Formats: sequence, structure tokens, C-alpha cells
Amino acid sequence: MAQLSVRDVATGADARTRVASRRNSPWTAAAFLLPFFVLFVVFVIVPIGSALWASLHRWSLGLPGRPWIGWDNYAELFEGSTVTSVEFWKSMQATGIFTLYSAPLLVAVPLALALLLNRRFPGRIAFRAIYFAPYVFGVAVIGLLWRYLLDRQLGPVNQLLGALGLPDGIAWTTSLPAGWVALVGATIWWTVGFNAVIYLAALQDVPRELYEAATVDGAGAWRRFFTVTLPGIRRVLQFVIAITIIACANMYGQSALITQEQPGTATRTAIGFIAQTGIQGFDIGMSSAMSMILAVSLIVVSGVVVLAFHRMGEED
Amino acid sequence: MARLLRPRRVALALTVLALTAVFVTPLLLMISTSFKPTAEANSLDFTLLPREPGLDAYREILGNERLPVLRWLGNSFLVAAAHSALVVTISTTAAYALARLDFPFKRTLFAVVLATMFVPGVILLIPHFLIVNGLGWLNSYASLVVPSAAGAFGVVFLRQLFLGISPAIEEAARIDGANAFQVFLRIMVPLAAPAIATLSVLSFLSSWNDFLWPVFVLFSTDMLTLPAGLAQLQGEYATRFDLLTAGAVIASVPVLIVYIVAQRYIIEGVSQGGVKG
Amino acid sequence: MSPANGRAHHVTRRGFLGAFGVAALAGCSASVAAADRPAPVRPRRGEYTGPAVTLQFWNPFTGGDGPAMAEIVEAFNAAHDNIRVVMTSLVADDLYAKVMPAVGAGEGPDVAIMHLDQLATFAARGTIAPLEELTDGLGLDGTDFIPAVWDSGVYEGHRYGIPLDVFTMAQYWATDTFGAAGLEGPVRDRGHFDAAASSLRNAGVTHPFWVTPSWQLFVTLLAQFGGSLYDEAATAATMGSDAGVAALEWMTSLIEAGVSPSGATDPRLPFKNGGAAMLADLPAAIPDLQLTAPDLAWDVAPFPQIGTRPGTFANSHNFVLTGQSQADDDVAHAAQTFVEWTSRNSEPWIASGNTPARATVRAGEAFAAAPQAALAKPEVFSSAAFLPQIPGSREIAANSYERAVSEVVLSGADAAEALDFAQHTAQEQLEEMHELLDG
Repeated sequence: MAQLSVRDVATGADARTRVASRRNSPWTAAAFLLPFFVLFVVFVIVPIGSALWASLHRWSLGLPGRPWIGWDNYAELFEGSTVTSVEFWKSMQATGIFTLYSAPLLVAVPLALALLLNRRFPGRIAFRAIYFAPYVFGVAVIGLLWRYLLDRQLGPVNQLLGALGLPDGIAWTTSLPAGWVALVGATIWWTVGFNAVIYLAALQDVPRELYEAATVDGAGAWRRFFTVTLPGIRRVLQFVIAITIIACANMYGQSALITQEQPGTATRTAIGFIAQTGIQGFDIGMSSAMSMILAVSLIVVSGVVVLAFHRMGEED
Repeated sequence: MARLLRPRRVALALTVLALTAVFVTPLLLMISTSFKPTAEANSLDFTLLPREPGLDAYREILGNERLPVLRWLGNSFLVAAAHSALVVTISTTAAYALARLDFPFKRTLFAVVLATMFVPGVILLIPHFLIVNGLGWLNSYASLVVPSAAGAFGVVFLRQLFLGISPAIEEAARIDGANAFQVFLRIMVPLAAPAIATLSVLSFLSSWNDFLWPVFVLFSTDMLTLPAGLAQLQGEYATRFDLLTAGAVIASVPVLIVYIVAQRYIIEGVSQGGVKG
Repeated sequence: MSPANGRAHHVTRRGFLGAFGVAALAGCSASVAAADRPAPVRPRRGEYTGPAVTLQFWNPFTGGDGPAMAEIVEAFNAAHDNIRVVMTSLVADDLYAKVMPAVGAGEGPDVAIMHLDQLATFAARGTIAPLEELTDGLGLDGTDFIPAVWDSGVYEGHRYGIPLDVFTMAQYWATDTFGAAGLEGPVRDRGHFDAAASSLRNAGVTHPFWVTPSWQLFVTLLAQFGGSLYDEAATAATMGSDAGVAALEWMTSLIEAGVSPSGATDPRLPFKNGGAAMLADLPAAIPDLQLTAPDLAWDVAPFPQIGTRPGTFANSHNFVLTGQSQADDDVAHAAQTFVEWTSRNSEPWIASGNTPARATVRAGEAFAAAPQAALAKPEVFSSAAFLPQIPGSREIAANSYERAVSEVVLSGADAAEALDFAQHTAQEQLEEMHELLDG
């Protein structure tokens, strides 16, 4: 019997399955695979290839010319003097600002919530259902809800502030920096439950004995957190950070619905601008180039997160 | 009794109550405003609960022919159900093959699928638009159900699950003469039922809540799904908050029902995905 | 299979798929290729009498004007057994984003309503068909419409639109509030405006006029201060002139003086609520006020001359026939019948608040009794500043002056700087557009 490599184990190709599966013909496998892979090729592989291809041309939907221009679209974007590139980087900056303000909160606040919930108290399950609930309403409902709550004249938030004697004329949805507070706040309210639920599952996997041992060693609550909890949920923390950053970078609905990308276009995110350039502006080539740049940035950032955790893991 | 009143417990209880209020109040406000008459909803004089609660806003929304909210509800349901069924069907079969069958390029195919999990969806937006246009699917149910069905998540998730099932059961069935299809349908699927249920609920929800794509690919009012319809409602009745909240409430009720019923699957699916991911 | 072999296979597969992708996409975009520029629509004789056809009709009337057009369509359907018009109203941005691929795929509208300034964009892309032969055949010319509107529907020597209506910038005032402050509307000019504003503030109206980032107001003021967005030939952008700066500075001066609050984006709501006594808005506000503020006493007139000469923003809804409608002779004839009939019978359109373009409709009693009749004055039409026919003008507008107005009014940016950048932007995009069209 040949030595099993790690890869073999990972793909489940142990001896027994090899014996069992030699009995199936390639046609059987094809039958199982075809439905998925036909759609996968048409709707994932082809689009990725064609987005790259389109980005290398000057292509305005419906107009006769579609010349090959090589990296010109990318050059124009990186040079940053034309309007499109200025607007693109503005929207990337908006995405960056939003990610910078919201990602740390979206990583930390759910963790605090999960820690709170990791104790036993009556109604815990009901409470978990309550704080997860906003997530199941889609961005359309959430956007509408917060557009209403934060309306300058008619929204309850300003009304409440006024009743408490605080300034009640803040234009949450049409001015900065109030607009960022609005977007970040609404997003946290909407998705805190999602990350919290993931943390909770991870927290429950941390062995109680470790906490007990730390307490015996004289560690207080904070030390226990840093020496037991955080390392214990390390993999999940990495996962949550990565998906949170990606989700923030993909933000579109909140700024489209709550602030309507105002003031001016200051809260227009990268996705918003890419969609507008391509679908309303008909500029297929440039919007493809922009989406490629955003995609590569995301892959790089995810890679950095993974590397950072790898390094931290190695230091242990 | 003294134990219950320990300061720590009280602090915890107060925190939980405060947080509950934070999560619940916005939704209550939304519901409350939807029952206010137009003048009250638009007045600068704010009231928590409606002074004259009524169904005016609902009547107006439901009776509005140009904004058929109920039709949108139906569209959303049809599309989400079809999408969910499609995702489950193709993901389960492909995942089984990748986990249990043998064929050339198996590792490569899986690697390609896994790699696309890191590709941000924004790249696919405009090509999907052009492809859907070329297939003549603009403004159709197909354009909502099909393009996003071949996602990597379902296949990766279910393959992991199938790999975890002991091969002994399958081997026994094979010895008894069962072919791959029978093994798949009679053994693997039932064993994977909870995960499949989770995947179907998550796909249903993701399709139901999809906002960006339907807004781009649908153009007739009749065909809109709820999120796109709500956006149109918001565009048309910018500050008629009584109408807008009524629309939001109508859109939320089905989701709430699904949530109350399938809450466990959803929450556990999300947390499992995170822990194993 | 060794890893090296696997990788080689992997690359070949990717390359093949990439090529497939290119081919597929090239095929896909064939449906929106400009190769099929429609030929001029030829007139058919008389009304349509052939077998039953269905016409798809798209328009941007998603607000208060929707029901008025629906009424007209219903009347048409009732009067024509063999033509059924299906109307779809989309938000303007949506309509313009989708009409081209939809028509290219044969799933779009046969007849549509487009804003006057959008005709060039879709003419250049072959979505809409030239109509000069049709209008000649139907015997229509400028005298049947408002000459200024009629003349504006031409791009590169071809006519692309038949006007349905025209709308200009208007002023609204709350008559009771004015009376209480000892004033009588309408406001005539800048001096009168300033006097009215201060009387109103003395009478207790803190913010009598709310300034919002309305680019239509900016275009109005730009014309009044002697400027224009582009030059005559529409090859150079001129929005950053002194006139433009003066226009924006008037708007911001009101905010600085406290006549208007800052950060306002919806001027109608405070007008309805009694928070504002004067309103600058398009005629679409008329049905909105009638419906949602029935107890408010108001009146309407052309926007006052704040600048040095008369001028007003003007735009128009136009009927267009798409390339799709010309593919089938019956559909083409039915479309012609629909447009011709609707133009003549556009009286119900008065309910939308706009001014019907058709002279015969404007001469009728129904229009004379409408509030917007106050806007249909010869001096308004003669000083109307229509947006020029430039392909991609909306995109250019969004990136240039619309943005500048928003940044100056809402974020307090410097007017001269913002407009300079806007002009520079518009100029660049104008030149790029000319490149793509020529080659």
C-alpha cells in the first residue's frame, strides 16, 4: 500500500474509497459534475476571463469602436489626473474610510457581545435570536429603515436627541462626518449578530480547564482574555477579520439607500462607482479595469491578514 | 433571593435589556410608523405610537397598481425558492462527486472552484449583465435564479461534509450492488440532510435579500423582487415614511416567518461555516 | 499523474476557457453593436388597420405624472382595437441604463419617452430611429409645437424626438404667508426677492426659501447671468465662466445670510409644512402639492430674473421610436399611430403639471385653466435654456456641473474652484466622446 500524502488525505482518497470508486465509470462522475460545472464555466470562469479581456480595451457599449489599448485603462486610473480616475480613487477612498471605521468595530463589538452571551442566563437563546434578527432582513429593508430613522426632519433619532436636550438638527444622511457615523452605525446594528454568532460557537469550543488553570495562576479577567480566549479562537478570529474586511469593501446598498451617496458623491463606494460607470455610463472597458483593481486589492488585503496570523501563530 | 440581586447579575441583566432595546426599538418604530396616517407621519411633531392608528398606508401600498408589492413578494418567493433548489441540486451532486467519486483532474477542478471563493463578486457584475443580455434573459426570472447558483461556497461546504461521512456505510451498500446514484440518493443525501437544509435556507435568504443584481437586471415593475421594489418605492415616495415603512414591514414579514421557523438552521449554519472555515 | 503534468493541463484548460469567454462575450455584445443603426423611419399612410399588435412603451414617469400618462394610454387602447400599448414606467436612471441593451436584444420598448437631452446619447448608439421623414409625412413642423422645443430635438442633422411637453423652472409662493407679511407674489427680480425674504423673516418665517443642490436652478441662474453650459457648437464647455460663479454665489449667499438653512436637499417638504414660503421647483411640483398639501394656498409663476437677463432652465419629454419597432412593419405602423394620436390627444397630460408642446392642446380651455398656464408665456420660451444635444451628456453632467453644485451648496466648496474643475472635466469627456464616435 503506497504512502498516503497529506494531499491524498485532504481529498479523501484513502484506500477504501479508491477501491469503491474504481467501480464508477467516468460517465457517472460526469453526470454528477456537469450541472454545476456547466453553470460554473458560463457564469464564473467566462466572466472572470472576459472582465480581464474587456479591461484591456476601450469599450463603450453600443459604439462602433472597440480598440485594443493594452494597459491604458489601468495606466489612466493609476495616473490619477482624469475625472474618471479621480472619481474612482475617491470611491475607493470612501470604501477605505468605511472599512477603516467599521471593520474594527465589526470585529470587536460582536466579540464583546459573544463574551456577554457566553454565560448562562435565562432567555439567552431568545436574546441570541434577537440580536441576530436584523441580519436576515436584507439591505433594502435596513437601508429604508435607517433612512427613516436618521431623517433630519422626521426621523426619530433627531427627535429623541431633541427631547434629551441634545442638538437635533444633524443631517445624518446628507453631510459628513455625520454620514459616516450613520453608515457605520447602521451597518453595525445590521450585522453585529452575524459575527457574534460565529464567535459564540468558537468561544464554546475553548476548554473550560484553560480558564480554570489561568484563574488558579492568579490571572484576572483581562489577562484571561488575552492569554486564553484570544489564542483559543485564533482561527475563527482570522476568518472573521477576513470576511469582515471583504464585506466592508463590497459595501453598496447602505450608501445607495441611506445617504444616497451624498453629500455630492462623497459616500459613493467603489462598487457604486464601478456599477455606475459600467451600467449607466456604458463604459465596459474602464469599469472592468476598476473591478480588477478592487479585486486585486481585496486579495492582497486578505493575504496580508492570513500572513499576519501565520506570523503570530509562529511566534507562539 | 440575595443571589439573584448580586450586583454582577443586575449589571448583566441591565446590559442585556439595554441591548435588547437597541435591537428591537428600530423595528418597533418602523412598525409603529407604518400604522400612522400620512399627516401624522409627515408632521414634525413626533409621536412614538400613532395617535390614530390605521391601515391607510397599507391600503395605499397594496392598492397601488403601479407598485404591486404583493406581486413583488410573489416574485421574490418564486425566485428564492427556485434559486435555492438549483443551488442545492447542483452543489450536492458536484460535492458528492468531488468527495467520493474518482475521475481525472479531480484535484484541479476542486482547486479551481476553491480559488474562485477568493474572487470578489464585483468582477462578475458587468460580465453577468452582458451574458444575461446575450442569452435574452434580461428582465426574467432566469436572470435572478441562474447566474449566482454556481457558487463555490455550497460545493466546498458540502464536500467537507461528505468527506466526513464514514466510507464504511457506502462500501457496504456498494457490496450489496448499489450504483453511485442509489448510494447518493438513499444514503449520502439523508445523512447530509441537516447541512443541505442549512444550505437551502442560506441560499433562499441570500437570493431573497439580493439587492444589487435585481436592480440592474430587471426593468419592468411587474418583475421586480422585493428589495428592488422597495428601492423603487423609496425613489418615488422619498419622504412618505408611512408608505415606506409599510412597504418595509410587508417585505419583512415573510423573512421573519422563515427566521422564526428556521432560526436554528440559519444560526448554526453561519456559526459552523465560521468555525470550520 | 505527476504534479507537473497537472499544471500543464491546468494552463491549457484556462487558456481555452479564456478564448471561449472572449468568443462568447463578443457574440453577446453583437446584440448591442452599433452596426445596425436604424434607417430613418418612413411614414405609413393613415392609421394602423392591420392584425392585432402589442406595443411596449417605456417612460420615466414614476412620480405624480404616472397616472396622467396611464390615463392617456388607456384612452388610446380603448380607441384602438388592434393595438394594445403596454406601459412600463421606470426611474429615469434605470430607463436610460437599460433601454439600449433591452432594445438590442429585442426586449425593450417600441416607443419610449426620453428627455430632450438624452436623444443624442441614444441616437449615437443606434437605439432610436431618425424621425424627420416621419414628421414630414405626418405634416408636422415647428408651428404645431413650441419652436424652441421643436428645434432642439435635432442631432447631426436628423430629428430624433417629437415633443410631448416642455417644462421650465418655476417659482411657487405661499399666498397666505405672503399676505400676512404684506407681500404680493410673484417675485419679479433680485431686489424684489431680497425684499420679500427680509419681510418674511421679520414676519416670523425663519427660512423663507430653501436652497438645495438643484442643478436645474443652477442652469437657470447661469443663463440669467449671461452664461451657458457649452458653446454654440457644443464642442467646448463654458460652465466655469463668471456667470456660473455668480449663479452659485447667489445660491450660497442665501445660505450665508440665513435665508436658507444649510444642508437642505428637499425644498418641497418645508414648503408644504409652512417652513418655507417660497419654492424654486419644476412644474412636477404642481400635482404633488395638489395631492399632498391640499390645504396650502399657493400660486406659481416663472422663476424670477435674479440675474442680468431673462433665462430659465428648460427641458422636454419627447416621443422616440426605437430600432426595435422598425423591425416589423405592423409594429412600426402601430407605433406611428400611437405617437401621432397621443400627441394630438395629450390634454390629460396637463395633470402632470407640464406644459403640453402641441399648440392645439395649449390653445384649449383645459390648459388655460391649469396652474402651469402661467409658465407658458412667450417670453419664457424665448429665453429658455435647453440642454444641447451631446452624446453622453447626462454622464458628463453628473461628473461635472451636477457634482460642482452639490459640493458648493452642501459641502461649502469654493464656487470658482468647483466650477473650474467641472468645466475641465466636461471638456475632457467631450473630447473623449468625439474620439469614440469618429473612430
